[in-house]
Amino acid sequence: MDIVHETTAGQVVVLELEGELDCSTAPAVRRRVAQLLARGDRLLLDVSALTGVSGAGLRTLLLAYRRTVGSGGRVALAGVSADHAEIMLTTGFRHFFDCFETVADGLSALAA
Amino acid sequence: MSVLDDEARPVQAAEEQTCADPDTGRYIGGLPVAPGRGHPFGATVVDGGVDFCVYSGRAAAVTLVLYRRGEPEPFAELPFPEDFRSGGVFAMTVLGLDVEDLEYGYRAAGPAWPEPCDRFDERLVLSDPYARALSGGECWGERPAAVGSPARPTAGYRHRAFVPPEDFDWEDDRPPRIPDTDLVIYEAHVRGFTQHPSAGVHHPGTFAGMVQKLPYLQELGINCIELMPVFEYDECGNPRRDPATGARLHDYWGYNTVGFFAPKAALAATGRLGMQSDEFRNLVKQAHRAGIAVILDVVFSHTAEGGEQGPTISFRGLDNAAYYMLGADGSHLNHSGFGNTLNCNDPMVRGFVLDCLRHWAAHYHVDGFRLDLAGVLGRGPNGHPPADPPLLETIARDPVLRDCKLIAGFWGAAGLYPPGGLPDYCRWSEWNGRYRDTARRFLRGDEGAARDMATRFVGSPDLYGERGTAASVNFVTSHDGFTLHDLVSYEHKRNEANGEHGLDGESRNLSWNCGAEGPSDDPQVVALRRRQMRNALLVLFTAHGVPMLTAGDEVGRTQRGNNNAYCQDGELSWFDWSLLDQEADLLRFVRRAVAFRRAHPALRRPVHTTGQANGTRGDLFPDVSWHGTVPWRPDWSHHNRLLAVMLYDRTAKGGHDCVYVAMNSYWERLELKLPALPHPLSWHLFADTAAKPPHDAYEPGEEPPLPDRARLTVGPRSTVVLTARRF
Repeated sequence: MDIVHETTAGQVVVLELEGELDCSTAPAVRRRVAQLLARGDRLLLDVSALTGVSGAGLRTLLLAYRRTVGSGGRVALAGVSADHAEIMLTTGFRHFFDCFETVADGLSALAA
Repeated sequence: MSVLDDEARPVQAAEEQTCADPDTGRYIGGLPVAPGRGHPFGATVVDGGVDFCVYSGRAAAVTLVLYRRGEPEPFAELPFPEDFRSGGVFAMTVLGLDVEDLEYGYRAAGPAWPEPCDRFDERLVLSDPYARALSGGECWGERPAAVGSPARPTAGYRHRAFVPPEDFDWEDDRPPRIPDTDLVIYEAHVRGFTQHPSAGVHHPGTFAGMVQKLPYLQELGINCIELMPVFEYDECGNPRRDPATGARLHDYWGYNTVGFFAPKAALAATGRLGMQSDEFRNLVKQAHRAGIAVILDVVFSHTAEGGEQGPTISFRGLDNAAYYMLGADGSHLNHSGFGNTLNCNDPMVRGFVLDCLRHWAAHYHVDGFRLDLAGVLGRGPNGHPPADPPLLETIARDPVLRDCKLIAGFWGAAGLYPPGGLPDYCRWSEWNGRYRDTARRFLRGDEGAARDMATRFVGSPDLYGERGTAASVNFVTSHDGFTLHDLVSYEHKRNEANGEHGLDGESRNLSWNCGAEGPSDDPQVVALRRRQMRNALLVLFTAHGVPMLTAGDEVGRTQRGNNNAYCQDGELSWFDWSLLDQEADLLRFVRRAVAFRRAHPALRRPVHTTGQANGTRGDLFPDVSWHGTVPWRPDWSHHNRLLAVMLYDRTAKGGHDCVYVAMNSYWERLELKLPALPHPLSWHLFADTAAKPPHDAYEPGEEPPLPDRARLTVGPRSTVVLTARRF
């Protein structure tokens, strides 16, 4: 399954993730995120269609945040489920992310 | 930055299927390999792969066994070639592994039973002693199906080592660095603290649950939590059943360690995602932000492998003779009372213990350790105590551990070191069992206890004279024994539910039931118990030394007389948060007692008192003075049950800090004349355990003046605490 749909809305790249984000699918996401952020892009990860996230998957999100530190890029999440938000809270990295309910909310925040 | 590199490289390697090491071009078990580095022990992510390093002094051969996450059968077995071995260290780098989908273990071959000291069994897959995370135990109380039974002991691999990510973002985390004498320690079990439904947390019984309760601890005035075991242990390792219900009992406390470097997954809400390391780190980080230090209760005296009949998990199969103390016939010596004794005087095991403590201090930012059964650490190869226990000294002088609090538990199985008898290297504090016993005897009104109570009250200078008051961790109760409520409600332990016919647990509790055994609705008994609990709390929080409160004692938690709840995973041992409302008076009393301690430097002196006044700085009184019904005339006779003490020190701003404590464990009320205070100071009442709540204790600064500045009535079995303030 193709996990990533990539679209560009203005200056923001939207990566839509679908299905399971786990150790088999995470590396591809991770690589693409790294490329985009290395260019200093603004990135919105739409995770609303994710059916499951493993520990490796969560680390992919965390890594996306790390790549923004010092690169000038920005990253935000849209459509984080209550479950995933809770796991991020529990492991202490929820507050690293700007989370938005919808892609539209995320886009307007990142465009600002 | 290195974090990113560590993350990215193995993944990339996995995708591109990096070829074998260009220097050697070697494959083992179908995987490209290179010689390992031989340091550090454990599994370490390195450039392009994972370095595996394990010690076995006596194995003839060792094999690395690799699994994909959760799969019952390994996907590769890699025997260490002879040239990947230096001495007793086997080291190999396997290239192109994806650590996120990896679990690993070892097989070790060597002389087998009946060879006296070896227990090699190649059929078993062994856990890495240095494993930083284990899977297979994510769900509390559940064993995975693919685990060996006594009939098929070699089936499956239960405690599965994996390599957790080390990229936790500590941000600006700093240790609270609380001076030892300012500590107020709170001893708690991670699961028991929030597992009860009344806790109302999102993730009951976990590190995350505890984070949600940090504000409660802050409000209570706690600045240090001492966590009962959080290293991987097997809660299912207890074979006993509750005789009444037939329910399976647990190893709830967890003093039988399986993985010394791994936080227990079943104590983490995210253990099922393999993120227990992050969740525990987050607890430490959030505790630090709340100004609370975290101390771990660690047990190096023995392991979960038990005696001869116990399971072979790791140490026994890798190097039985090095890790354990053995008798001449090769059998396990049982100094610890748990079936085996770690051989902490073996230089290799000493290194293991030190590596472990450094790991938790450096990678988890913990602020200190309490070593259970510290007496066992101080035992020579022949089982006798050495004069200069090498491991205790090594830990005390270690640079990584320099700022860690070090607390020794005092129970050597054979009573090798009595309190104060342990060499401290000016670093070690100690659970002061003498304090506990004397306080209990004094509180219940034993004849002849007041004198020793006086010594305990001023920080046990007889035991810790050279170390200062902070060497003495004072406590009246701990997890091991009666709760405070039960200490004043039971004279006999009620341990039948533990499945050992009520024979387990301490029988000499120095407790007193206040006139009725167990639950009572006699108002006089109930009132006396409430007073006795408050007396104990004041004796604890006004004494010199470091006070330790057991979780739940601030709200009168009961274990219904069970004084050894190690196996009780249920309402008996969980913190019932509905007590916060039911026992709101007691809780407020404890908060105020802690706040009072914080407000008075005279209670937190680092140096033992001398009984002298420092005239050159204009002191009003000696640092400690003893009194009786008449001031300056203490009664040290055997039958006396009154202890009246005045503590004096200067405040940071140069003011006078003066606290007077009258502890009456006599069953009649006493009329005391008070030491005179110079104008404009006069005595104000902080606490009177005979008074009705909320007048049993006051907020600092709100203490009302005594109606009669020269006299004080102390009720029967009551404690009064005064402070000198301007009128």
